[in-house]
Amino acid sequence: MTDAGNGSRRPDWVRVAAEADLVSAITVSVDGAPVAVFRTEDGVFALDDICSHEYSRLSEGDVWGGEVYCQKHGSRFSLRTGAVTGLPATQPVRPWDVKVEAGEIWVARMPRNPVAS
Amino acid sequence: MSSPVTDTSQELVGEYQHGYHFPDESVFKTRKGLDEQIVNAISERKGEPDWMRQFRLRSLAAFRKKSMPNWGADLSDLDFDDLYYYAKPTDQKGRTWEDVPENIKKTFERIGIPEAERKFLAGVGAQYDSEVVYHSIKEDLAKKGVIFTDPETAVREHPDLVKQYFGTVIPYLDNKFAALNSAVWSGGSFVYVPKGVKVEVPLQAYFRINARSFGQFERTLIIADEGSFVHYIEGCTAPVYATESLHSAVVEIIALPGSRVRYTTIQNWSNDVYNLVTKRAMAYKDAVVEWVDGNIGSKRTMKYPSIWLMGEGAHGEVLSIAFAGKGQEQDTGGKAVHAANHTSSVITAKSISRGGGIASYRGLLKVNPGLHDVRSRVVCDALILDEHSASNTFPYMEIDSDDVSIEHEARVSRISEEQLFYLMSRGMTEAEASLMIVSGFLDPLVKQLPMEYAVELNRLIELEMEGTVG
Amino acid sequence: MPSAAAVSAEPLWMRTLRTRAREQFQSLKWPTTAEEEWRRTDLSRVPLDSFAPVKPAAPSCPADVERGAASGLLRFQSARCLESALDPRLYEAGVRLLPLDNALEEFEAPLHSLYQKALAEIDNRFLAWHYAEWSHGALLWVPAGLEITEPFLIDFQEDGDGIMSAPHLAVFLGVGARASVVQRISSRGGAAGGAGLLCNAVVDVRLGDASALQLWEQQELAPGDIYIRHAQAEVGRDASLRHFDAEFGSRLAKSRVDCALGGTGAEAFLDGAYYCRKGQHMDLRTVQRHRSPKAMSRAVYKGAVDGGGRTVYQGLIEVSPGAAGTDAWLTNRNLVLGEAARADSIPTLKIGNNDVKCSHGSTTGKLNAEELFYLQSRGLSAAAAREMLVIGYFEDMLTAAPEAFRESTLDTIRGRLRVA
Repeated sequence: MTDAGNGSRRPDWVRVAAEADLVSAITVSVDGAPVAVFRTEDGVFALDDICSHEYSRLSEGDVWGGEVYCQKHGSRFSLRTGAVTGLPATQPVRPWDVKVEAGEIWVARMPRNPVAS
Repeated sequence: MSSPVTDTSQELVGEYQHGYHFPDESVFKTRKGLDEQIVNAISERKGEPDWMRQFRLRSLAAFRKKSMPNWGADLSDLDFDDLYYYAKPTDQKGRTWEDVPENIKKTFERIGIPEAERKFLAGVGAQYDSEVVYHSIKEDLAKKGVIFTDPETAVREHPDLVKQYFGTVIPYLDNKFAALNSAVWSGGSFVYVPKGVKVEVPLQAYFRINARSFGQFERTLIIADEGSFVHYIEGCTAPVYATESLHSAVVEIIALPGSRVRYTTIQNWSNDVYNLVTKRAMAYKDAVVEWVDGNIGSKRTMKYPSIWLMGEGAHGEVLSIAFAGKGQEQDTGGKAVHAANHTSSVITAKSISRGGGIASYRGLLKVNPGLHDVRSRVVCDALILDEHSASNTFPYMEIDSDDVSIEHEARVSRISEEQLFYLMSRGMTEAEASLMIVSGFLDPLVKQLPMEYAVELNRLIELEMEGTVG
Repeated sequence: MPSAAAVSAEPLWMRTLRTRAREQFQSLKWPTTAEEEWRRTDLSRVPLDSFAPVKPAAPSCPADVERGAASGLLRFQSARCLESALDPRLYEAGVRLLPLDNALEEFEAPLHSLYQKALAEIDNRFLAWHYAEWSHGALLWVPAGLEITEPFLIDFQEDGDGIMSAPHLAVFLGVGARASVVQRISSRGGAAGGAGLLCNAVVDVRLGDASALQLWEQQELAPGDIYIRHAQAEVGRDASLRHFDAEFGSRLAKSRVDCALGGTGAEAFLDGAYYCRKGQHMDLRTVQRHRSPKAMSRAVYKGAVDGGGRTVYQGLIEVSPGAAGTDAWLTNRNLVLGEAARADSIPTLKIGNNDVKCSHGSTTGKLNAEELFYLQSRGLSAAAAREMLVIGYFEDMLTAAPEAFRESTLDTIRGRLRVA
C-alpha cells in the first residue's frame, strides 16, 4: 500500500486488463500513463508504451529475443529493463512491474527507474 | 508460378579483370518487381548463410508495411513494381559509344576524365585498367590488417564482425528505403580498420570498378576501431550512366573511441535517377566523424548524413553541397543527435538552385535531456540564381537540456548586383563574374575535398554555370 | 449552441455562415501528431469532445461614450460585455469600437467578406468550431486618414469549466489610418481537477494601404485552461503592422500568427515573448507570407523555459515567385532556465524567388555564466542577478509598448522568476 497523501492508503497495484485480453501485446493505462504489456515465452513484461525516439506505440512493435522493436524506426528496448539496445532511440523507456493473478493482469502503480544501456 | 530466373544472357557491363570474383553472375537475371522469391534468389546467388537470408526477408516484410515519407522531394513518379531489383537484362542492341549523349561526352572532356574511364562511366562496357595501381594499395592495406572488400565477401569471410555491426546503426525498420536496401542490398564496401591504424590513402570504391560500385542498392559498413583513421571516398564528379532509376544505398559507420572517419561523396547521377540514401554514423568517446556530401546530379535526392554522438567528447561534422538544376530536387542536409556530455556538432550546408531547380535543406539537431556542455552550430546558405528556381530550409531543433549552446543560421540570396558590377568593372564578362562568385560561394566546402575531386568539381561547376548566363 | 434568443437576433447572413462552419466542423477530425503543424502537441489526452460552447449573452453592453485615458475600452467577462467606452471625439470622427454582435448590422459588408474568406481557408477543426460558435468579440473600425495615438483596450476575462469560449477580435484600419490596440485574455481558473476552459480565439486584422497598427497582446489564462488561437493579418500596400504577443498562461497554448504582406512596401514586425513554467506546453507559430514585391517582415520570438516546461516554436517565411525584392528574416531565441526543460525550434524558409534577402536564426542556451558572475560580484544575490538578466532579455522588445502594457508584462515575468 502507498500513502495517497491525504491519509488514505492506495494499493500498489492497478488492475489493467483480463488475462484473456493479452495475446502478445496490449496497451493499458495506469493512472493515465500509457503502458505496453507483453507476453513472451519468458513471461509477462511491461514498459512505457511510447517509444523514446519519436511518438509511436511499442505495443504495436515486434517482440524478439527478449527485446521489442519499435515499428516506426526499429528502435530496440530490453523487455526486462527498458534499456535501449538499438538505434535510433538513445534514451531508455521505464520498465513497470507486472503480474498475472487469478486471470487478471496487474501493473505496479509506479514504474521502476529506467536503465541506461 | 513464375520463376525468378528467366533466361540466360550476358553481363550488362563488359568483362572484368582477373582478381574480381563473382558468383555465376552471367546467367542470372531477375524479372521486375519484388517478392520473397527474388529475395531468396538473391541470397542464394550470393551463397549467404541463413541468418543473412532471414534478415533480408524480415526487411522485405518491413518494406511492404512502411509508408512513403509524407515530406521531402516529390517521389510521386516512383513505381516500385516497374523496377529490376537485381540485374537488368541486356538490351537487344547493347549500348555503344555512339549511343552516349553528346553532352555527357563533352562533360567528360571538360572535367578531364581520362580516356580509359570514359567508356566505363558511360556504361559502354569497356575494360578499365586500374589493376596495377590498385594492386599495390591492396597489398599495403593487407599488411596493416585493414579489411577493404565488398559486403558479400565480408559476410562469408568475416561473419563475426558483420553480425556484430550490420544493421545496428540503421535498423531495417528505420524507413522504407532502408528496408528496401536491407532486403535486396548488393555490392558496396566493407571496411574494418584495426586499432591505432591510420590509413593515409583515401579508400575509394571507385577503384574496385565493377557494376557494383554504381549499383542501385549498395550497402556500406565501415568500422574504425579505437584510435584509427580512415577517409573513404565514394562516387565521382563525372556524370554516371545509371542502369536503373532507383538508387537506395545504406551507409553505416561505427567510429569507436578515439577514431576518426571522414566519408566523402560526390554524386552526379544522370537526371532520371531517384537517389534516396540513408547514411548514419555512431561516434563514441572522443571520436570524430565528418561527412562531406556533394549532390550534383539525379532527379530527386533525399539524403541526410547523420551522426549519433554516443560518447563523451565526440564531435560530428556535415558539409553539404547541393546543386539543383532544371527538373531537379535536392532535398539534403544532415542530422546530429547528442546523446552524451561534452559533444559538439557543426553542419554547414550550401546550395545553388537554377533553371527551375529546387534545393531544400532538411536537418535535425537533437539534444537529449540532462546533458552537459553540448555545442552545435548549423549554417545554411542558399543561392538562387534565377527567378524560376526555389530554395527551402527546414531545420528542426529539439533541445531537451539547459546546458547547451546552439546556433542556427540560414540565408537565402542571389548573386549580389554590387559584386557582379564590381567584378565586371574589372574587366570580366558577366559569365566570368557569376562563375567567380559561385565558386567563391562553394569554396569553403570544395577545399575539404581531395585535390583531384576539387579540381573536377570546379570544372563541373564551370560547365553547369555555362548554361546559366548568356 | 448559442441561445435561441441571441441567435434569432443575428442577421441571416451570420446564421448562414455559422451553419456552413458547423458543417465543416462535422466533416473534420481533431488534429493529430501525424500532421506536421501538430507533431509536437499531442491532443489525444485532452477530452476535446466534452467541451460545450459557451452560450453568448444577449447584447447587453451600454455603449458608454466618455473620455478616458484610453481611446476606448471594451471589457468582457464570461462572454458578456460589461463595460464599453469610446472617446466621443473619436466617435464623431467615425471610429467604432463595438461588441461584435452589435456590429453585425452596421458592418455587414466588411464582416461578411472577412468571414467568407475565413471559411474558405479553414484548415483545422478548431477554426471551424470557432466560426460556428463564436460567442463574443470586439470590432474596431478606424476610418481613413485618422491617426490615433492612445491605445484601445480590449479585455477578455474568460471563465468556465468544461466550456469552449470563442472570442473574436476584428480590426479594420482605413487608408492612412493609425491606431494601437492592447488586448488581454485571462481567466481565473475553475476548481482543481475540473476540465478547465478551452479558449478558442481568433484575431483578424485588415490594414488598408498606408495604414499602421500596433497590436499588443497578453495571454494569461489560468494554469488549468487551454488556449488555441489563430491570428490572421493582411497588410496592404505601404501599410505597417507591429504585433507583440506575450504568452504566459494556460496549461497548453497553441497559437498561430499568420501575416500576409499583400502589397508593395508593406511591412510587418511579429514579436513574441513567452515564459513557460513547469508543466506548461506552449506551441507557437508565425508565418510571414510574401505575396507581393518589395515587402519587409521580421519575426523575433524570445522564450524562457523553466525546468519541466516544454516550448515549440515553428516559424515560416514563405516567398511566392512574384515577390521580388522581399526582405524577411526571423529569429528565435530560447533561454533554458532549468533542468528537464525542452525547447524545440523549427524556423523554416520556403523561397520561390531569387531577388530576396531572407534569413533566419535560432539560438538556444542558458544564461551567460560570466554575466551572472559579474553581477553577483557587484553585490547582487544569485536570484537578483538572474532576474536582471532575464528582464534584460525581454525588455528590449517592449520599448515601443504602451507603458502600462510594458510594466504589466515585465511584472508577470518577475513574478514567475521569484517563484521558480
